[in-house]
Amino acid sequence: MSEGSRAGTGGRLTRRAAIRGAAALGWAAAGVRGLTGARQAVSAADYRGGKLTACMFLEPNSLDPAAATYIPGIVVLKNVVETLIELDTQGRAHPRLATSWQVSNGGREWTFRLREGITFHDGTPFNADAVKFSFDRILDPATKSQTGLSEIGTYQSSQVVDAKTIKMTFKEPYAPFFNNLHDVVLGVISPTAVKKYGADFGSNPVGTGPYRFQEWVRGDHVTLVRNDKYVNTSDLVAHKTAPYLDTLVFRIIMEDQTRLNALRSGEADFIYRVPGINVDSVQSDPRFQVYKNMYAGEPVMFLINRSRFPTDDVAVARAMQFAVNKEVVARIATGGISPVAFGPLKPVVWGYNAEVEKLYRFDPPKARQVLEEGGWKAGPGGVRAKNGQACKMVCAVKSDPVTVSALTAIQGMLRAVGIDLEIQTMALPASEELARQGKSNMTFMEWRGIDPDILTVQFHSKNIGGWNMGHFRNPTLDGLLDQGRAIVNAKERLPLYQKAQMLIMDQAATLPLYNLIAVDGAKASVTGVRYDVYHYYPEWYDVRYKA
Amino acid sequence: MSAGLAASGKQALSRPAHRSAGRLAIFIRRLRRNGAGLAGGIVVLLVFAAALCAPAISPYPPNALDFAAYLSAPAFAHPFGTDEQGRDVLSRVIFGGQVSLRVGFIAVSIAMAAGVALGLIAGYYEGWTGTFIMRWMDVMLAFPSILLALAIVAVLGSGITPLMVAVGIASIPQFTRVAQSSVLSTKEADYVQAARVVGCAPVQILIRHILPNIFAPITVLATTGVAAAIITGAALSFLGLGAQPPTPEWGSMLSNGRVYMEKAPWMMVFPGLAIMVTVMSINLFGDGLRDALDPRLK
Amino acid sequence: MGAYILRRLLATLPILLGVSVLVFGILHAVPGDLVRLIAVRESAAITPEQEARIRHQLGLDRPLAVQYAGFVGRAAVGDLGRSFYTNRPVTTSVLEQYPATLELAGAALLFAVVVGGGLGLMAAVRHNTWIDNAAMIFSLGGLSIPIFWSGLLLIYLFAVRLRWVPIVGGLGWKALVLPAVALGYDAAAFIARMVRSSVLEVLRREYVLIAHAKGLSERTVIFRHVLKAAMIPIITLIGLHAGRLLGGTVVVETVFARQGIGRLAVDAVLYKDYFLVQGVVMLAALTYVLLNLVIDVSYAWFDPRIHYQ
Repeated sequence: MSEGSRAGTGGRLTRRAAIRGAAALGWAAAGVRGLTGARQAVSAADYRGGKLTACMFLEPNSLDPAAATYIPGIVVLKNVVETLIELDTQGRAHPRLATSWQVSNGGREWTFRLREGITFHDGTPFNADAVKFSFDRILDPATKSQTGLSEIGTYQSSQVVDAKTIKMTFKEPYAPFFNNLHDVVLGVISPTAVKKYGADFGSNPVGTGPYRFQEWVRGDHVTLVRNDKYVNTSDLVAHKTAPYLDTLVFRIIMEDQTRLNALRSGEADFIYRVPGINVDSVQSDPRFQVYKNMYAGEPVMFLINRSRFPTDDVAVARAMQFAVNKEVVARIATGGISPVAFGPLKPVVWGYNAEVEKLYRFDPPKARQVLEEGGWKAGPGGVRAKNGQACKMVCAVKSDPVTVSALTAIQGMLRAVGIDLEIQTMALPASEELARQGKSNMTFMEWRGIDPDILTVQFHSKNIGGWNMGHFRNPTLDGLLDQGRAIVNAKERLPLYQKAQMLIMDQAATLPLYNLIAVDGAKASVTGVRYDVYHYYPEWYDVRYKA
Repeated sequence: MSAGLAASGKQALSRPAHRSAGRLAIFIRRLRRNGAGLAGGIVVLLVFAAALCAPAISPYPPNALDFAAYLSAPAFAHPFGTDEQGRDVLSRVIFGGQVSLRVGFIAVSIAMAAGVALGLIAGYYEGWTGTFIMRWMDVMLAFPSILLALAIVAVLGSGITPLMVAVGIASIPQFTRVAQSSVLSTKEADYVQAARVVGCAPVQILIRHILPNIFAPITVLATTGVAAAIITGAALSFLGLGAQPPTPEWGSMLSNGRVYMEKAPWMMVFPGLAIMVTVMSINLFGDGLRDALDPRLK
Repeated sequence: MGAYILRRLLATLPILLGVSVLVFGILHAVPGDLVRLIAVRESAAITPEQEARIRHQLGLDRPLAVQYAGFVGRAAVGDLGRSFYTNRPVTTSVLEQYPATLELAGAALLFAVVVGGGLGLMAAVRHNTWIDNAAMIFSLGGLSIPIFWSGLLLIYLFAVRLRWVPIVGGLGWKALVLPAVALGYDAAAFIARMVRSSVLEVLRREYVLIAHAKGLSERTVIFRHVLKAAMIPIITLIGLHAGRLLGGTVVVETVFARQGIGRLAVDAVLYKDYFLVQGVVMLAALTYVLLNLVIDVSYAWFDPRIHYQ
């Protein structure tokens, strides 16, 4: 279900509340290990070298950080490219390529002092020119940046003060920017390499990270090798030298079952996304360990197109909220691992408003009542109609079997209250294109991010034709979201986002399904796997593995 | 079978009367002698009957969700088990037969209608027209049929109707080839020459005199064509390009069953078995038909 | 013979031309606006200027005939445009996936020839025995079991249950076994049938009787005459089956999560990546045409009765 996840426009000011919230609800945000401890410590404690094969669930669209849209590209790039700052799991900022920073002019200027003595993999020195080049490049249409462009916000230009100082200017204050710097899509790349490879830089990324890019065989794998000259710039990790592994291979296996079988047969040492239905059997197998993370972002949901018949009628959109049994959907899609969702944000995101949980509950008679009151009367074949028009809707969706299964269940549940849903399966980008054109009543959505500003991406009317695939247009909401991203003070921001969430759910602009807990699996002998602030994918710098 | 077709006004010209009289009897006698062909025919009939009477004989409606019966193993209540929506697999397999047989028959009807028409024309007008048509068929044959169908689906979109059209178009060349070569071999026959001499129009000659003669090879081809179309249709659905949920279709049921291979192998066993039994019996029947219609055909 | 090959080569030209028309047609039959599909890869919100620019870049603002001429001209030098999705040249994407497909198809063919040929031969030599019956049941199965099902069953049995062979990976022959068997089964079935009937025919033919009369051992008879006779149907079937094998990779590569052009084709259709669809279809057709050329010529080696005028 996670193929659709993209890097969000996340970023946040404090993360503590979120972590506390998650812990209180009983989801260990830092991961639940099936097996850890003594056994693995003996086998691999001091081992260096070796090759680790990790299986991803989707092919990257590009390995140019600025152009990487889907998660797998970011998973790979985190090892190749570094960022100016990084956030710990508590959401506090730590130096990385930048050693210090300051904000001025009411949030319109950021100045960074840069680390010295760092070189890119191709020998190009890291300096303010490289930072300016990497950031300015995101604005260039030729770079084809989507996620980078949304994360950079109102960025205007950079000024090289001296080789180790850079000043960035913004049109307007943009609150999420600083924390977004943690995301590798805003990472720093070698200007020399971009000039050398041109349009093919996306197949030959060059950064300063712990691993160097070696090859990308499409449809099969991406290989990274250790950067022997690496000097660790992160103060979150104890060791300062080059990473332990010699080679890191990311294999691409889209089919869930095949990926799982790769782990079982020993062909993979680590797999992203153990299929929900098989988690228990992997967890109980002493050969493996699992990592469960409710990563930060939006839940798995279907945006409801509020501009297209019949979901333009709020009665229909609200009835859908009552008609769908989310427990069942979550069980079909995730084997019951992920808890159901009620709002447009996951509870682990700062600013989550638990009030949304009181709005709708599974209640088919209530759904029928809402439809009746909205003028939708029982019609032929059990499909309701209003003014002679039948309550028929379509959903263009990615053809992944698990998503289709979940949607099929929803189809049956909607049918039970008199709503007819037609499912059209295709590849994810194709379904998104139909959604952009407003030709789908429901659109599968899932977004990664640590700042509630990600709501702007899916629900602000300026993003209609873009990622606002529900074509939701609400001036009040637009106002709340615009205000929220321009204010730096967290206390002032909070109520805006609380209101925004209630408004979105009151208007039923989305059908939240479940807060996906991503489950990754590894051989028991893999150690040092650490998830970052998003809790989405592990860092490979610290990992040791002996085959 | 061909007796009815031959009973036309120009019967005297078309062929000697005794040929049509005893043919049906001979055909039936030959088919009966071929045990495997007969068995195939009977199973085909059973599959047909099951598909036609699906609403009457299925224990459950094919799309009845029952989340309490999530992934139940085969048992008395659900002889083929249930799927992840709690739907009865047996009922879905029975209803799936409707979809698969419809795809097979409509696709072959499209292919046969277009293919035979083109083949007749190409065979009769051997010159530029014939060459042009046959060259086009060569071009179409250069594409593996599933790839050609895939490309057509890319243009038409997913769904059962585009699927039938795609599979149908992709199977046109075989029919054209068989029809054309049959025309070429019968064109010079005395009765055709005679018809031409008495001034019959080409259309008349094609339909009245030549068409009945290519009946046997085309029937055999159509029979095996249905089997092939069922497989191609199921393959495209398996790949997510055919039937859309919740349509019970064997190929998409298999594709769905793949996810639950470990926990619910019955989800992929029974739809596959259904395809195999259907296709195998059609093939056996086709073989028997070929032997019975004309033992010289290979 | 050289002249024959040349003539045969020339005869493929109209077919290639037809292939190009058909492939060109795919793109132009696409419903909806192709330009929008491409534009959306560049940015979320599409401006009219952007649309016009892309339309111009793709040459869609020119007359159809000019577009076709341009298409053929570019295709001739291996330029089939860029994938909408990855923005990489279609030719590069297709060619880098091609070896994996050839490897799979080759392994499947090897399986089909060895198993199908062997069974057919045995069935003919031991005509009307249980071997014959078993071989024919095997062959019936091959013609009736869909590849995607046999593939799933093989995975379930050998990889999930027995864990004999790995399932994924283009690494080594082990990972090739199951896909090759799944893909080659129906070709093996065809070959078994054809070899059986053609060997039966040869066995009955006069020169074999004479060879018997001359007192040669049965083994020699089989090897000298029969095997050679069996080669003709095998070669014919390779030609006829090349398309089926290539088509089969579409399913097998998906079932076994292998890379290859079959998989690429399915993805391209699901992604509505029309240039890529064109590329795969074109390559498959080229392969088929060339292979059949080679096969026509190779008949000469196995059947001197065929003359080339």
